[in-house]
Amino acid sequence: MPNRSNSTSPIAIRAAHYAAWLLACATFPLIWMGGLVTTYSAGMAVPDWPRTHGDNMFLYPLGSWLTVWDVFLEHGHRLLGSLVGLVTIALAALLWFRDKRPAMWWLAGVALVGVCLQGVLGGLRVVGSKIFETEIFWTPAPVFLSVAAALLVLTVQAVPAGQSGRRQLRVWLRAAVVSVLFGALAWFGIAAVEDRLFLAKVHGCTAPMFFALAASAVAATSSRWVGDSPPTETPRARRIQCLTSLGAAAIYVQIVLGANLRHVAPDAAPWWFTLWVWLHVIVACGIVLLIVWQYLAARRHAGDQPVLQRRISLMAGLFSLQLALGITTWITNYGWPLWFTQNFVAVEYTVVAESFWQVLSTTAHVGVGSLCLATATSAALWSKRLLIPPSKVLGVEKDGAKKAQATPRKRHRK
Amino acid sequence: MEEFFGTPDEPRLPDGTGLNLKLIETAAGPVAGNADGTEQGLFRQHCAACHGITGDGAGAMATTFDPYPRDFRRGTFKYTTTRADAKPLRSDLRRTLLRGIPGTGMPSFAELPPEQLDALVEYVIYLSLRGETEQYLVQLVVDEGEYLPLGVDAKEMVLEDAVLWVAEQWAVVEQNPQEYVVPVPPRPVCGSDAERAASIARGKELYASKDAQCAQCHGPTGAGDGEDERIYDDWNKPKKGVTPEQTAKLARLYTLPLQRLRARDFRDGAFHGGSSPEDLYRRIHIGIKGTPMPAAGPQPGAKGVFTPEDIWDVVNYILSLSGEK
Repeated sequence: MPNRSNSTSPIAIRAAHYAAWLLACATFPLIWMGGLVTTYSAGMAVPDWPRTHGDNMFLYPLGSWLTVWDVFLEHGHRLLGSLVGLVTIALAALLWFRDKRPAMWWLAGVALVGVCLQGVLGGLRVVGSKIFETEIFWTPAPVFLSVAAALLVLTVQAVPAGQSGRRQLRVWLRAAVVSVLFGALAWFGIAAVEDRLFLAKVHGCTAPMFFALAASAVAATSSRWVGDSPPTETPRARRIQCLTSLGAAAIYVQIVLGANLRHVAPDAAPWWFTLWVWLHVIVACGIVLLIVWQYLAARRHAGDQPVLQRRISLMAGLFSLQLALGITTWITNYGWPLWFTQNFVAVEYTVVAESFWQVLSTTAHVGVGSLCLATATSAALWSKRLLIPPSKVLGVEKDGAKKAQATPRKRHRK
Repeated sequence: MEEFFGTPDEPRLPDGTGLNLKLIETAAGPVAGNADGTEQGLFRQHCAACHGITGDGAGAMATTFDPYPRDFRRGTFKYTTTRADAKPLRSDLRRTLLRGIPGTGMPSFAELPPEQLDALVEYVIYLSLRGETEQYLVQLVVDEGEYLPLGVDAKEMVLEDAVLWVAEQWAVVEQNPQEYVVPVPPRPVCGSDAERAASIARGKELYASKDAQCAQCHGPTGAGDGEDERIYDDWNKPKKGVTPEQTAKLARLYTLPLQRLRARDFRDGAFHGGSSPEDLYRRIHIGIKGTPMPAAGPQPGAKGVFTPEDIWDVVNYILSLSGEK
């Protein structure tokens, strides 16, 4: 097996690294801009897509763009999105043609598909509401029945002839169960799509994931990653890797919960909002515990890896900021909680809709949330690159030599 | 109902209501913007998440707040400048939009342009008119049962007895503000500390008097801890004693669980209807509509518990509890 890292030209790697940084730096303000679009409910200020008020998006008159705030936000969001698309294409081209690591080819592919998907989602968010509000074949019951029936017929037709009656009955039963399960899955999918704000939620959740992908590209194209720096042998390597991965996953779950909270439909049952709020608070507490745990573990067992230490410390700092922003966002949007004003300090505070502080805290909460995810993803990747259990180095682990080959040290030294 | 009022996306109005349909259309429907910066769907953008699309006060965020967001369908609004038995002025609703309600989730919409505020006020009145008509119909079904008139006659009856009657209640206040708006006399100037102390002492006495019954809810020291702790506003009263099964049956009417009302703790110096002496004067004179807070000032045909001078003394006493002057 060729040494892929070393066979990739250093100039190409450096170019890809710069492109990845450019992508991350362009995506971050795009997320802020998207957050502002939602905060100001400016998404429908440009009701057509991909055109802007009937004009080609790139030829829309500057005067019209800059004079109306909502149009400025929505059209600016689209233009910035286009720039991110172009940078993604450049990064993908560099990785495909110059990087020899298959994992990076996959990353490039996923980034390209992701940016296209996100663009289409954004467009559908605007024009799709009209499509999805029509009498789509989407009525759940017929879909459920048709999927279930089709699966049943297909499965039963596949039963070989000449089987015993009991065996045929078992096949029929199994087919029925599978059909019902798939039908239910289709029903849930359609029910989710029928949620008028479903596309807004998916669009809002895809952006942080894409940003995390850009951060991954930055990490994996860095000279330290592709270089020969040896990983640290520590018996806690698995635990730290597990904790950092879990931290990234938990932050993403938190982002999904936040998107549901932000895009709650006005006609939803009143308990939905309360449910999302509580889940958001509970998961935040879980993330705090995870971050403290991984911070202590990394400090104790990966003290000689400043790259990893820095990322975990940065994440701890960012998440502290995120907690403060979360509290500020609540207060600037819904006021001080009653339990607080009754038991601690009575504050005569009036929420001001679309005030500077409300807009800033709410949008910053969205932006810093994405930054937390990107940092957590980076920390998770670096923990895999820089830490290794001692037994792996010696090659005496129970799972045999095949597993040992997959370790970073083996991969880079071979 | 649809024939009279249309739908939340396409509102309609019968002739003679005096409401501005163009403004209502700006506030109704889904959120959208135009190239010239004008916006549609203002109610859904700013209000529906709490007040609900139909203005039933049971939006997705409603349970987060105490008190709940206002249910416009009763046509009752708490903080007005009009006397206790009258509808509010448009300027009252506009003031609430501009100032918000401190200490609750109701924000100030001072950042919105004036034409958007006008549209929201008109839409709130439209929802209120619609809601009161709906309640009239429900009551009609309960009262008349099988004798309910059907057909064109019924339509005419609903139009005359509900829609136009309620619209008239709104219009008459706008047309004769001098008759319905409670005047606020100038606050007597307390030249010295001794005069102020005397006014506060009189206010304290009035506050504790049996006729006024302020202490019953607000407590003897104004800490909001009166004996009568279990007080409810008009929106929650019908829910008292209703079983969960009945609540489920009446889901559309009583979506939110029963919520107790809290008498204000004057020591905080924070008041939902505004903290200026003039605001407090009005609260005592007019009361807070839809709540057990009664109108203590003189009303047409009733002397009232307090004279305007008494009210100013009570205002001075209440302000003194939070160290305000």
